[in-house]
Amino acid sequence: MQLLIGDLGVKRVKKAILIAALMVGGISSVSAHQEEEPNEREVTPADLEREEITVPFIDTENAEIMLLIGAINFDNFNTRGAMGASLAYHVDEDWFIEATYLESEMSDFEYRSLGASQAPSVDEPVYYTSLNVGMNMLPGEIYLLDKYALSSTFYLIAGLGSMNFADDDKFTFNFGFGYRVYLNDWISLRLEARDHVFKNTIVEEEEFRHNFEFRFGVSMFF
Amino acid sequence: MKIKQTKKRIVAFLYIALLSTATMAQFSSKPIELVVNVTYIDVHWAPGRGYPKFHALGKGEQFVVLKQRTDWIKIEFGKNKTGWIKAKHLSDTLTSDGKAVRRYQ
Repeated sequence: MQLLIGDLGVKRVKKAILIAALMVGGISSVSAHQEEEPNEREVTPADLEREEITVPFIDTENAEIMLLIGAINFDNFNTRGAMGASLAYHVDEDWFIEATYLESEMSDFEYRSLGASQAPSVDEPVYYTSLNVGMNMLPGEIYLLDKYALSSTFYLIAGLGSMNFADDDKFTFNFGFGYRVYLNDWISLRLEARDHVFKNTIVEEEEFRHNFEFRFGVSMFF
Repeated sequence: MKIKQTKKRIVAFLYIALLSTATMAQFSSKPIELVVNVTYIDVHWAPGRGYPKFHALGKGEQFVVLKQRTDWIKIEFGKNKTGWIKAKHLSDTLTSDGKAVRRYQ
């Protein structure tokens, strides 16, 4: 038994010495090989030419002006014609921002009938101003006869503004939709429907009023 | 009454001034000639990705830049044909004297 252990131990020692010798031999051969290679390497200089860049000045046409006519139905009152203008800026092909000014007249006949006023009714001017955000969707074409195709787009629009009537300002929220047809790339026709919503107080009761508007406009991009 | 009339006249003048400016702006853009430097560039009917493509400009084909609307550029190519390409394709073109083109510096 002692002989067996002794034999195993000798074998292990021999094995360890052999492995160590191989490792030392390998390391020394690698270092010798490295010593043979020259330390200096040829460095290839970067041959880069800075390219000449041109940034062309291109005339942009992101602004749009529109003249419009239409009709407004005043909630619980009457329907009157309206006219106005808007100025829009197209941020990208999907979104645009628009400021609108609209002018109409409203008769105070119905209003006076509530208050039993004996004075004759008059037409008071009504002014709408609003700032809106629009989203173009569903771009397409409409076809006239067999030859002509006009680009078109459907859009949604919503915004905040104010309504001035008889020196009284009311905060309004409006939303609606429209359809735009391009006669060429800088003139378009727009058909639009909107609802102007505001809070009104009559006889100590607050309620939301809806003034529906329908408008037609001619717009130009510049 | 006079104030109302004056206000209406001012508003009417502003309408006319803005319309005149818009009309004049249509005729003031200077054309820029470019050459396609990639395999092809799609040309659309109108400035929007939803409008149909009706032509593809091939490599080496020349066109003239007319104006820009949002991310789209109106070009003229071939025999007085016009269309719209995406503004990002400017970097896929060269000027007529071989310079690279970028939208921004």
